[in-house]
Amino acid sequence: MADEPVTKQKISLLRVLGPRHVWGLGVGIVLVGDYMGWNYAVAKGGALAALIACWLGGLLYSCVATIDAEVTSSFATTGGQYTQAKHIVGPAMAFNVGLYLIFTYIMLAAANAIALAHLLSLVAAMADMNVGNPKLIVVLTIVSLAWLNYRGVYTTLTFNVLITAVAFAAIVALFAVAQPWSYEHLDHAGLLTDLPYGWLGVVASMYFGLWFYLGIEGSSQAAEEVRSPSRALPYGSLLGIVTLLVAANMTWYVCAGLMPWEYLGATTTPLFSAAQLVGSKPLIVLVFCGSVLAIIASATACINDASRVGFAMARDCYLPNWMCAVHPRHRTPHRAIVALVPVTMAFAIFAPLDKVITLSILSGLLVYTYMGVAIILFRRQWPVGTIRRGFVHPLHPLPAVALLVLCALGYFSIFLTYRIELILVVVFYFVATLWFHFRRYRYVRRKLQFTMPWPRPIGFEGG
Amino acid sequence: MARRDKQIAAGSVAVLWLLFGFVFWQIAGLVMVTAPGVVVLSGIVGASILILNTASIYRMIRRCSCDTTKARIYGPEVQSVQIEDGVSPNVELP
Repeated sequence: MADEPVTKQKISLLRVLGPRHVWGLGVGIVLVGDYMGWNYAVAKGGALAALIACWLGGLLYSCVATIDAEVTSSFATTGGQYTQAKHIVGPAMAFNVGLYLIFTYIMLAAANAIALAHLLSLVAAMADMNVGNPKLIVVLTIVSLAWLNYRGVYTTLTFNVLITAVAFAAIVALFAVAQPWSYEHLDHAGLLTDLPYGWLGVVASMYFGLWFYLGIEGSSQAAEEVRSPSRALPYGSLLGIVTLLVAANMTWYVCAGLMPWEYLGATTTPLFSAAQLVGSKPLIVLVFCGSVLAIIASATACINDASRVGFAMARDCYLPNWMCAVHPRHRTPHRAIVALVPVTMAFAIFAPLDKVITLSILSGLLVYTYMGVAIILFRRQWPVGTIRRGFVHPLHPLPAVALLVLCALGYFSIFLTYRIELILVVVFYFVATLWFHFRRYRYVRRKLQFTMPWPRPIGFEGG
Repeated sequence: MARRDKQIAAGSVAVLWLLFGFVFWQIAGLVMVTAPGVVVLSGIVGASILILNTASIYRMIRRCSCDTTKARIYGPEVQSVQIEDGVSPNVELP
């Protein structure tokens, strides 16, 4: 082998990221859910229902994070759950999971751009200014963040870690200034009511409880760009979910103690409203900055994640192969980044916000359902000790079972409010699967289906 | 590096327990009589979250302390720090 002349060097993604980048990628994509969106859970079932939804969502995502830490640190290639599905289940599942992931992140990025335009327009109106056409802000946001992603992963994710840390610090500051140990600002005794819509309200609010954590599994997309997958992926993912649980509890506690549930369930910016009620001007400024930074962090991470999935799928010819190029200087999947920009823009400009978010959450839930099944198959096909794992998650199979039960509850929760969307999404993915089976599969590189240097999986009977 | 990782991970779990304990204790005291079902359910779900995350992080810390896996976990990190510092890397990767 050593005597063979090397004619062409393959350019790969750069391995420059550490655990903090993985943490930033996971938390950054999600933290915006604390600033806006989660509070619609309160409208569905009251503040106590929102707390239960927050904790049920927390359990679901704790299962996702711990399972993801094991599987991702074992595969350690970009594409995350798509690549895992390719190895564990097969091509049709891999195509579906890849599609779920791309839609989850594209829709989230579109929703973030819409939210940023809305927030800036709102503040400009309060200051008697005009920011112009909000759609222009949407376009500028997506293009500028895509450009940042294009220029290099280290700069992008270091920037993401910084702004995510500020957004998290703003939540901690609000919690501290609200003085949870005293009753000066908070009045839970006066504001907390029983469950106004009973236990059905709790189930209905579950859908919005997921907003506190939606996207934490995106941390796995950095797998091929981290220096040490065994360290960065479990460490970043597990600390990421702990950070989100802390932020979610602080957010709920402060907001539920400051606002009546009827108001909290209707406001578009619950944390900003809470800061206004506390009355500290520096805090209001900090929380406003936190809101803007959280949105930018989420959009940045979404573009990063969507492009990595697109890149991985194109590499195996599940998507057009020209998308899998790596930029020779910046070492980023630049064509995948550019290709997804017009798609994100189209959703941000033409689709209504609530539909965009519903499609994103539904696609996310489909990924989690797959993960619950996949970890059971993964442990059967390659039992612990047969391959090198970066992390072995505890209490198996309880997290997988809990994850599947909570996903079923999530689908029912969505069905209560968005049954048409649920049916449309299922039909869409079914049609996409048929298209893949009959039209696309012939282009797939079958030799690249199994790329890990592992023994043949137990129970595998293929050639 | 390993020691700092362990300290941060253990600290974050401690904060998680304190915060969940605080929120649960405050809310249970207020609604125990009017909504006992909420208290029971949130107690079960909260405890499950704490147990799962604590077990996960404990397992991760234990792996960081294990001599057989330490070189694999920290080797690439040490190597890249040495390259950044202009020193030729002397860490043997397993």
